[in-house]
Amino acid sequence: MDLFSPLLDALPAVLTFPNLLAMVGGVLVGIVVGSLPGLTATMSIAVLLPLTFTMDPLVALGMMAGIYNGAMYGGAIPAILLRIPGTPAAIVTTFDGYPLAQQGRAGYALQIALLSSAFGGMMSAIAMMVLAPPLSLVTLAFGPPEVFWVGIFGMAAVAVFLGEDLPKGLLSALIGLFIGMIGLDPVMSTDRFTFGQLELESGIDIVVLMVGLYAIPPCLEMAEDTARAVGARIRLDFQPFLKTIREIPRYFRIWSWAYFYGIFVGLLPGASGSFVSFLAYERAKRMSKDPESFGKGNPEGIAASEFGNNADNAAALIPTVTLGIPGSSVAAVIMGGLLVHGLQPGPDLFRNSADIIYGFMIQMFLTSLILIPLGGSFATNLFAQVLRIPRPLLIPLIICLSIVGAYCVQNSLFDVWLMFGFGLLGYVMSKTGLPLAPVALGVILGPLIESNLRLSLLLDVRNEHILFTRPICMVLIALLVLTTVLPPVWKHIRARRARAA
Amino acid sequence: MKRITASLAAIGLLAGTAALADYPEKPITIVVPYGAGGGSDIMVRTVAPYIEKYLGDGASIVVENRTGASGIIGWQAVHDARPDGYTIGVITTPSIVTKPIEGKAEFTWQDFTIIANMVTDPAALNVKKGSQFKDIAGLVDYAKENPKVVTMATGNFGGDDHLAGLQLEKLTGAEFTFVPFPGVAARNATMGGHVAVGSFNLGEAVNYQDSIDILGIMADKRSDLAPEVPTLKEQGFDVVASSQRGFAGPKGMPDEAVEKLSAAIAQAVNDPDFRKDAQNQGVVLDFADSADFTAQLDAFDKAMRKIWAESPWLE
Repeated sequence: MDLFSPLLDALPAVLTFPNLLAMVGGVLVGIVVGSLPGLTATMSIAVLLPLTFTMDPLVALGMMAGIYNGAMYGGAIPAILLRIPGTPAAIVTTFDGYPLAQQGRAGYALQIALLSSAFGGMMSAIAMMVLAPPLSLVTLAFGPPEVFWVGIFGMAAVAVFLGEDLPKGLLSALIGLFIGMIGLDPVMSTDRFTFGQLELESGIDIVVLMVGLYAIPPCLEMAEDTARAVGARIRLDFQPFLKTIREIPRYFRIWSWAYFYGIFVGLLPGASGSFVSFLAYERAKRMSKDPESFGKGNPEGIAASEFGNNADNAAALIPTVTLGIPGSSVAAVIMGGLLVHGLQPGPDLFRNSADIIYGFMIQMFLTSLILIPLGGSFATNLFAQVLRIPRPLLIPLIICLSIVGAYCVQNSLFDVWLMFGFGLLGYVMSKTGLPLAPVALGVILGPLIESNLRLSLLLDVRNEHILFTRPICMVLIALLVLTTVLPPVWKHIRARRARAA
Repeated sequence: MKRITASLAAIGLLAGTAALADYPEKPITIVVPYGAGGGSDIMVRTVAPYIEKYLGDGASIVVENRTGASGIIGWQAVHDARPDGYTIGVITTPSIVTKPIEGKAEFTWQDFTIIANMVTDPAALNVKKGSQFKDIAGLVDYAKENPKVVTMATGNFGGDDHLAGLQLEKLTGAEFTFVPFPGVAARNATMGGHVAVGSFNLGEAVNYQDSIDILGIMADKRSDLAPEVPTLKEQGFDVVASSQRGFAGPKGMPDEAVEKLSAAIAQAVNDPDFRKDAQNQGVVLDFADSADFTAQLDAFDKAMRKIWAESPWLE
């Protein structure tokens, strides 16, 4: 398939003024929101999404792309300056970022984070441009049995990547699966858990759920520590930007590994940027001649972490736009945005709305590119001051936007109450240490798995066990076994060897 | 006293008539009971400027999406609105007729003022290009010899695609296995070869003929949208099924408003620019005024009640 001509066709629309404005605005909003601890990319896109309902779809997507890429870098600012990760994906950035800041090299650390984020995002967008269109053609070969296994794969990935907090993560996923069951059942249209409420018949809207889960808890938490002192004016000492740019070749090897992990993990439904950062950081440490310096202010640690969490961005959108299975919680919200604009993921998206989807991929690239000037020395200096805004001031703003957002999805006041209900649920969950992402994935993957399982059983008219005998199914099952069964077994064997030795 | 009341009433009457002569004096809200970006929504948003044009006098239309419960939430809102001609809604068959039969709605289609029909999208049976089935007779014969082996992708059970398949079963004695795919997934499943045949409307099939063959449409005559596609009737199977999209308001709407709206919709449907838009979107235009549309709904209602009484399509 010709790769470049649809991209070129989509380019003029991307370069129109409202579009550029939306991208620049999105990146700025993203950096600000990302730099505010507790406010994530998922939250800001979910809250701002309804403002885009009346926009041209491409303009709306440009803004979302900007917020997404901006927030992933913004998270590094407090991570480096205050050792508070602005977004979960920036946790690893604190390891070496904060020590560097303590050595008075905060400016340099931010420059490395910026360049790594920007290149990570651009490379990820290129991967999406290359992989998504051919995959979208292949998806026609994905019938109910294949989609069922992809869904199972996603749920398994949720479990595997939760690591230490397995029971809590599974509990979260179960909450999500339950919420996903509300509404009419996918085959016989029987009411489930609707209590006769017509509003619940079509199920819970993913945007309403995400706004509630991700926007309300941080508000309540910010209200709890209003008394916390506001930081003093922060000074950053930058070295000339060009000098930092000249250092880039030094990071190529680390970036390549981070890229590989980013794309691979991005493609898996359920795993997210924070996980990529960990993988890339561990790899950088093992490759280094001086692993001891990691955690004490080695810029290579920042490069690995920040490149990794941005390399996941566009990659996570690949299964979203081709199969309708979001690769991360941000991707889940963006999928909600696509659906609101009548853009159904799958081959039709590439066939009927080529300008929009190719335009969106260009936007994912461009918003990473404009991170460099926007996030450059001057702006980063400015954003560092954002941390001094008394955070409680944000509470009324976020709550207003959340109410508007939840209402706008279906013009329904019922959804506003539902949103507050999910807000309380999210608050209780974050207080008890239950992760939020598995809920969103449970809500999306649960119904997908159920309906495709039931459709597969209906389709199996000749008793051929199509769930197990179709070739793509067999490949997916093999992958599933490899990723879920092997790691624990391998770990067990290594542990035994270690004991024996 | 009596005289004053009488003259007040007369003034009121005059004012009332005067107001309606100028209809519309304020924006008209059209409630779309489905999500923004869906088929019904796009249809209304495309036709709205043309209806505004033919209503004249700077008339304006606001499209409001009230989604949920397969249309029932939006229709309830129209049902409960003031019948002043300023809130109307899109009604779609079969749901507006079948949901009340299923006992899922508190109203029936007779509780509305029927304004006009705009779209009649015939049901169609479609196969992947290169399928073993070349015509309806071949499909039916195979399904008769191999009961339940032919899989047929439909939309939700109880929707028009499913009802169309059931009618064909009833007529011929063939037995299909219906598989309910949501939304456009039925077409994708057909194109991907995951089902033997897909039951979805002509409008959803017509722009995809590079990957699917349309075996036939369930209409009285061939469609302007795809004149080369034969009807089932021509092939010897007397089955007619379609999905209609029209407009209705709350019961008791003033006649003047209904007439003006109906006339404007009729003119819009004949507008060459709009016809071109419709063709590109796969919208099968078919205007019917209030009386004709009411008669069509009535006939469909009777047929559906008969099927429901004999063998309900939902358990």
